[in-house]
Amino acid sequence: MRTANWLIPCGAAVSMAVMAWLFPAKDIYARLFQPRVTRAEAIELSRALGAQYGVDTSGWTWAATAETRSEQTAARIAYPDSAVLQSLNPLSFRVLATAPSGESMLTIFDPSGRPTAFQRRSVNAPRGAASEGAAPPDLLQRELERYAGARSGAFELTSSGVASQEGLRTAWEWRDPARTGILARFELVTRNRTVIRATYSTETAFRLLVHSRREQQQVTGALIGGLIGIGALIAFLGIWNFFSRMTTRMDHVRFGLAAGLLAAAPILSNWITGTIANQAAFASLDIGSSAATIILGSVTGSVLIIVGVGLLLASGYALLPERAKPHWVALRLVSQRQVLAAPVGREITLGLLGGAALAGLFYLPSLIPALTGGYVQIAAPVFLMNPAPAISPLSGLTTGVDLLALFAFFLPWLQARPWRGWMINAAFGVAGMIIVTAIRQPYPREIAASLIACGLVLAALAAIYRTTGVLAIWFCTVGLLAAKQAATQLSAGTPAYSAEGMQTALLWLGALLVAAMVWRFGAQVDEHAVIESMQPSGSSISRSDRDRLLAEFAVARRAQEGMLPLAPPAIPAYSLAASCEPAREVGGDLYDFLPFPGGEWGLCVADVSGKGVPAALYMTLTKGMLVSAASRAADLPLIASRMNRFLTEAGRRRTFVTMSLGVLDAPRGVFRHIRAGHNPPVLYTAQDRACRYLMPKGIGLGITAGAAFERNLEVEEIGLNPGDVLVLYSDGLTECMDTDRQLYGEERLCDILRRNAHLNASGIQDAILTDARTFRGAADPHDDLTIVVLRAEARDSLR
Amino acid sequence: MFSADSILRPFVEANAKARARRLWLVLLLGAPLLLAAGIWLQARNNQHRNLILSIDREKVIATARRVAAENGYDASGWNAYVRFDQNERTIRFVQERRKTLGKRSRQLAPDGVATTLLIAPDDRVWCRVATGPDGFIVATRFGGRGYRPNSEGISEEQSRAAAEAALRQWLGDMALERMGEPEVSTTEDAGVPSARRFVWRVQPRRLPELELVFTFDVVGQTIAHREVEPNYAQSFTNRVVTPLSSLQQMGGMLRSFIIIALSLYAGFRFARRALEREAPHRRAFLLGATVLVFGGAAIFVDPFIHDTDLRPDRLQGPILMVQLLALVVGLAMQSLLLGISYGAGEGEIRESWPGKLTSLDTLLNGHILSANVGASTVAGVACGAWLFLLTQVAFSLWAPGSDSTIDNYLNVSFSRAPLMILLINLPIVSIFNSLLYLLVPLTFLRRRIEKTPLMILALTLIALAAGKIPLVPEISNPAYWIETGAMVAAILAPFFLADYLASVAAAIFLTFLCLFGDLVVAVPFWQSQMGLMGALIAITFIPLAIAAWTGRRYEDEEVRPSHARNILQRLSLQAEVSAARQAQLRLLPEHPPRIPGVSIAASCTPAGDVGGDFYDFFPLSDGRLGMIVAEGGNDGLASALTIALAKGFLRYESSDNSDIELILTRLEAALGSSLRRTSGRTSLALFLLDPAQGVLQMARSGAYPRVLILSPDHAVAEFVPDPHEAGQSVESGRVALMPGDFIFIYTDGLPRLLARKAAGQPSDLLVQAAHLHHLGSASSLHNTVVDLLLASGDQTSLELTDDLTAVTIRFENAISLGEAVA
Repeated sequence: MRTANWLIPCGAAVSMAVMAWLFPAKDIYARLFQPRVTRAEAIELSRALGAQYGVDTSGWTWAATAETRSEQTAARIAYPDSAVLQSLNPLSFRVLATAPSGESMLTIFDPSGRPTAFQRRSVNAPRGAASEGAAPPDLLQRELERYAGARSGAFELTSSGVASQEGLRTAWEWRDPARTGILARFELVTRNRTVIRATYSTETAFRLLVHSRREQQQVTGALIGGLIGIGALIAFLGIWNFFSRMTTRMDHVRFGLAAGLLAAAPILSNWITGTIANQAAFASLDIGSSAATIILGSVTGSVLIIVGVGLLLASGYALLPERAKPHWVALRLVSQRQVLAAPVGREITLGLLGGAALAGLFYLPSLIPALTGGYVQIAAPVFLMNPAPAISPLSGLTTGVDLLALFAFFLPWLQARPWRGWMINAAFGVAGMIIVTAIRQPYPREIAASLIACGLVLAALAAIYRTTGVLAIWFCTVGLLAAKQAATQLSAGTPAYSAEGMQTALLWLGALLVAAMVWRFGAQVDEHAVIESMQPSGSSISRSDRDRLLAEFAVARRAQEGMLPLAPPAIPAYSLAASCEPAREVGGDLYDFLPFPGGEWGLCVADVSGKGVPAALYMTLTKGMLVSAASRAADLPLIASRMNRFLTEAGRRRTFVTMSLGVLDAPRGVFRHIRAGHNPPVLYTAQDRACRYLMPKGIGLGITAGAAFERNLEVEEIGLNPGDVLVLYSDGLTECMDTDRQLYGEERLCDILRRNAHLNASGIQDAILTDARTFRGAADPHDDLTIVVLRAEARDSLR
Repeated sequence: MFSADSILRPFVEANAKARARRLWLVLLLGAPLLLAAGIWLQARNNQHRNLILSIDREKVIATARRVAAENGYDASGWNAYVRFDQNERTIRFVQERRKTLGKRSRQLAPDGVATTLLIAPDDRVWCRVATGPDGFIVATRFGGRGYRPNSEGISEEQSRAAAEAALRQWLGDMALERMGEPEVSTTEDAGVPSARRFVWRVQPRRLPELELVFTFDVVGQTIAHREVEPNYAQSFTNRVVTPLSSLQQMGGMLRSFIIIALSLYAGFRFARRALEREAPHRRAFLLGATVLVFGGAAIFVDPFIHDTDLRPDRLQGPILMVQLLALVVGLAMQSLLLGISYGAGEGEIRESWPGKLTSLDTLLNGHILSANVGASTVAGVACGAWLFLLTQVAFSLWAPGSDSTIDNYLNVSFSRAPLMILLINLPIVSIFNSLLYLLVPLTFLRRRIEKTPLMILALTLIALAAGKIPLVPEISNPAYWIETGAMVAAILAPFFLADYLASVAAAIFLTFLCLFGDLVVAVPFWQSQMGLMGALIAITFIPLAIAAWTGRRYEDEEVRPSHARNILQRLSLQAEVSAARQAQLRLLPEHPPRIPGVSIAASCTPAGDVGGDFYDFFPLSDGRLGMIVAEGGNDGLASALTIALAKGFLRYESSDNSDIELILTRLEAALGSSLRRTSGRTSLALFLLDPAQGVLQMARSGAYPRVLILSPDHAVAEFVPDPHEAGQSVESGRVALMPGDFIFIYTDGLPRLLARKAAGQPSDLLVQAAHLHHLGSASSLHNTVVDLLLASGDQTSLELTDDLTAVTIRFENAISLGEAVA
């Protein structure tokens, strides 16, 4: 990277020398266009011309623009010996003056300041054909000489004072004596002896250009086709990448918008300098629309450009591989508004210089003898008539967006592919060549020269990128335009253009100096920290909502399962089994075995009203209380009463818990239990092979506070003999429904219990669960299903 | 026979409200009548039609061949290309000067021109003929490499005589004298050297802003090119064209802005749904591919339908290839956009109106002749019939005889396969508009507007602003608004009344009725297609209508695609979590207790949907205050469950007034294993504040919560419990408080947030808060701290990585035990 610090400035110096050498001989401005009139002079000429035609332009607003006619350029290059074609320069300066009333005057000058067209536009309807007031011959001759100059003698009159809607038309023609099909025309329209319109034009027959045109068409066709294809592909990839990354991170969007604001600089400067208003005036004239609409369109367009550039940068940023990150440090700093940091200064300095270095490369192919025919054309001539020409190279920040697309998005995208290096280079090279050549085409008529020039430029850009970064690439176009523009203005050879050229050169040298000062004296930053900051932070990464929720529920389910006893306790002379199947991911049912201090075992089944996570929360809350209660005496009414109080507070009477809690005094074979609104436990007695439901009084926990609860709570005590089975269950069992919405019911439970009472607790539990599942069939379980089975075993069998 | 019940069965539930049943009955039974009324009204409106063509593709080709034959070329085997273009300026001019414009002027300055290009198979000679809507020839031109009329030995006078003869023959009775002198010049436009061009200009009487320009290019005595063109004065352009085109551009910009903004958002929503596995990739692809294939087929059949300039040199070579490539790329992008828009919007309908896609799902499952598809089609067609009448009423009131309906189809009518293009375009345009008006705006609106009437209003406004595609937004033209309004109603009304498929069916049917009825009147070609179209409609509609009453009705779950099941699953999970959050909030104290001698403030801001942090207060009977502050890690629901477990335990324990250190030790012993989470153990602290003694006791297991004490002189000290004793997991300590001291208890969410904001230590925060405000109570410190942390405009609150829980207590002054108990 250090090499670049001196190599790029050296390249810029060499390039300036190359330009000084080749510009006069090879550049289209020096060879063909040769501008002599600046904007201010063109406006002054227009004002003077208007005055001669009796148009008082005081108080009118002025706009000026420069354009070239490609057909005419082609004809002049193809027939350089034709005096007719030489009489009109393909470059023209259009000056438009508009009165507050809407009346306007358009004048067109060639680069030397000779008028080539004049048109007065009135806002009122013409009043009949002006056949009266035919223009006197001396007026006609004077106008012909004004527009045709020294060649006026070659013109012959073809129409004289023919009436038309505009006025009286008089026309002259100058046919090229050497070549049929090339001619110049001058047309003058007068009304009441006043000039309304004058037009000097040249015409070249289609057949004379058809050969070069066809070649040109083929080349342009192939290049534009490639540009459309590759451009669409890059645009699609960029947009897709932008959105798909947006779902997992947002930092790239913020980066893109912040960094993309750089593209606002030329747009803002165009607003401030009046360039937009200038463009709007001509757009209004050419496409017939109000200036306000055009300006609104321009605002919309500008916003879209900024968004587009931001989107491009965001896309590239989102998929930066590690090795590309050092090239984005300066742009990252810009996005963080640290524009006075040394890396920013370095990249802008080297970008401006690198751009200047590129300018020379465009001229090199013209040294190859076989390619010397072409002129080099780097920039459109708009800058010549720009209201603030020195600033216009700043427009490189938006016009160089093709390079930005290549280096800021396409390259990172290629680098993110698992491809070999040569494949990435080949893909980048091919796409880059097509894009850069199709958009820039520095030798409009020499495709080989264009390809060589653009190949050199692309290679140089790649080298600049390798040693600097994306910000430098972005500023390259600015440097290129500044160098090219200054060269054009300085070589024009008129004092006004020299002054403008000096302004451009000084302004950009000043900008270069400021950037270099920032590089030298600006804030030093820890580049590793900046690279580190390009990692999306933890909060900016999000997963799919579903994955996150599913994972969260899986963890919750495991947590809840972990709160249930791993296995039932071993109680001598009893077998014990329990299970809980939540209807959803987590459930609101609970069973527990509580080791009371006196050696008694508490058996509990509880069911929280509602389902899902809210129920699960109250279920664990209940479990916590039970754990605490188990460390104290097995006083069932006290436990129930305390739990009721706390649940009433916690549930705010919106959630309640039903609970069946019993204490087994195993040695005595006594089971003491309470039923807080819960399903009655079912007791199977072996002696009479019958089932009965135990239904002591009790209200659900959390429904009513205090005395009412306690008043309604009964403790029931039963004796358990060998073979007796006690089943505690939740309503998920007896209210389980089949596909026809029939309830499982207590009868069925008793029946299955009777039939399987000879099995141990786990056998009975399995039988009940299997039966319930068979009964339910394909119907969804709508409630959690919990069951605890206690069987008093014969002591012998245990032995 | 037919009872109302049997008629309404496919459309409304048996237990539907009487109002809904009446509505449907009127809608269905009225439809045929209204359809007939609409057709009658349309025929009446069309009597005012400005543009009625008597030419079609065959006629203009025959005319061109005749012109070629008159010039000595047998063009019977030549390739023919035709296109029809309207002349916007002439249309505007005619609208302005209808009364003063004579028949002849209208012939010479026609509203629209059909241009026919005939090219010899060897490409050497071509002939181009332009005719007006009535078949009047307005231009003929010959050219090509092989076009070589004899020009030798002919003087300019002879050429002029030939031109004048041609002019006389062309215009018949129009006196040549009125034309005056021609302008004469040399031209090569005819493609042969040295043609003489004669231009006559004439202004029709009483029309100062119009000039007719007659151009003749004469080679020898052969007329290589003749043409008449209207030339409008600058004043007309300034006065009429510019303001109108400005308005159109404004409309265009507004539309572009809306479409781009909505598309960008839809792109984001599509990607989001793709991530959730809820994007209908197959359907999006199918839609995009269908548009691409059909559009591609239309281009393949007639590539020049899109070419605005029928120039012989553009029909071949690389330029054509580039044009076609650009066209296909544009079409592919459009297809992609359509696919993405559908993919983004479909989920929104599923989430908000689950049943409205059942018919479409049934159709895409291949059950075309099902009750669902049939009912939606019938409902759509019925709505279409109603809207058709309304549209025609609107046209007859505000824009009788408007041509805008058929603008886009005039050129199509002259293409090689007009019927194919019409049949392809109808559904595609309707789907395009349904995406633009409904699915894409829903991606944005559904999260922001809950009430259906407001939603309908917002959708309507967006749809009206976006305008009907492919019409140009002509803001000043009532016909544009009628058509847009009709399309908006055709998309939205059947959707909210029935379902999405009905909405598409209504849009297709309405567009077809408006378009075809107008085309039949305006273009002769379509009259010959009436029988075929009628048959096509009958073949499509009758079986579907029968299926509506006799077919099988599929339930949503039978035809639901897998991505839709994913939506339902996510919604159910989210609903559970949201319920969990409510439940969890109920577990937190509603407000801090009122304890004499202290003021208390507390808050808990969860980072995720449910929080893992927790605090609770237990005022004890002796005036002391027990507190729990706990931190359950970042496992979401699992943390919430763990915290609830601990809360249950501690709540029960608190009833015994035991020592807090002992309680915490018992908790560790009883539930230690359950308190460990994958994201770290649950750490919690119990506090006992004795306002009478001014003493705060703390027992803590784990590193958090931590306690800072802010004294009235703004000094901050951390209350650190005594170190662990060997084998103990609980650390404890006590601290004496001075009146005015603030106790600030926080969990690790606070230092983490401060670290992310690089805003120093928690103690700095307290000092900062103390300097900002006069701190008179616990809540003033607490609120200041929370405000500093979650400053408005700062998005940090949305990006909490950990729950933010803090309890602030201000020890006012020591009180007596009696006072405390009281």
